[in-house]
Amino acid sequence: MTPADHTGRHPRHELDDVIHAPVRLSVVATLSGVDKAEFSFVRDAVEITDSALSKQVAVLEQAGYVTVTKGYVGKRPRTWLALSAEGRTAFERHLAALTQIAGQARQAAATGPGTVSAP
Amino acid sequence: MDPMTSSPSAPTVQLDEVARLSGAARRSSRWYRTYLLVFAAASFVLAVATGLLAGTPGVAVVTGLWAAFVAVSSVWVVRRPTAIRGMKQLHLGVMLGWTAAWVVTVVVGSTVFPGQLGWWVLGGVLTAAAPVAGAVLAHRRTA
Repeated sequence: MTPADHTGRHPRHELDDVIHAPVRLSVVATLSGVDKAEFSFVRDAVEITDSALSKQVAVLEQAGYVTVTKGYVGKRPRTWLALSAEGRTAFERHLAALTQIAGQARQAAATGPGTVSAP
Repeated sequence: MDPMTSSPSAPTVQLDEVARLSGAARRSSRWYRTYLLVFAAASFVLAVATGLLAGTPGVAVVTGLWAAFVAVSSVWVVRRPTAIRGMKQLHLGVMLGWTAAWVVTVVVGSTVFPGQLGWWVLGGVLTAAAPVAGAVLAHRRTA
């Protein structure tokens, strides 16, 4: 039997391909808690290098999920990252799917092996 | 078999990580709550000092100290690494409320209650009300 939601589709179909990558999920999760965050804050929170974060942010920006704002504070250049409305919606949908999958997997584990199969 | 669909740990670990990162980012923006509480306390002192020193050169000193406080705190604010969710609207609301309370305090205090310290203490409470309310909202949003 394949676990499915009320539409008959397995919730993994609701996972967002852009957000699903672990680093991008971490970046989006960090940005979900605030209006905007400085690039260096996100880099430290997610524990990756500047270049790795730049690459992942570029993907998220291209998908329309993250906005990037550059500016100065005094003479120091600053880069701010923010989740767009579209990005926040996609993240919430992704989280809902993850939660549903976790619930189904827990339920399957409790009822015994062989009750869950990949579609 | 796809571990995402069969193992309860993979999505659960991801959800835990999401909660951890999102919570850490939220907590990092608690500085705004602190800022508003300091602003409220300074507003109260400003109103009471203005009332106490009305008609003396001390008012100019108090005004200068207030301007310095606003300048220093503004620089501190723009250097924070995160901004609380809905900060623009929240800050605008607090500043509009503070401005209205300050105008009422000064206009009524200097025309109806000149020299009456009680009014200026009340004015201090009025001007502190908007930033305190903002701090409460900020606390809830960063909990």
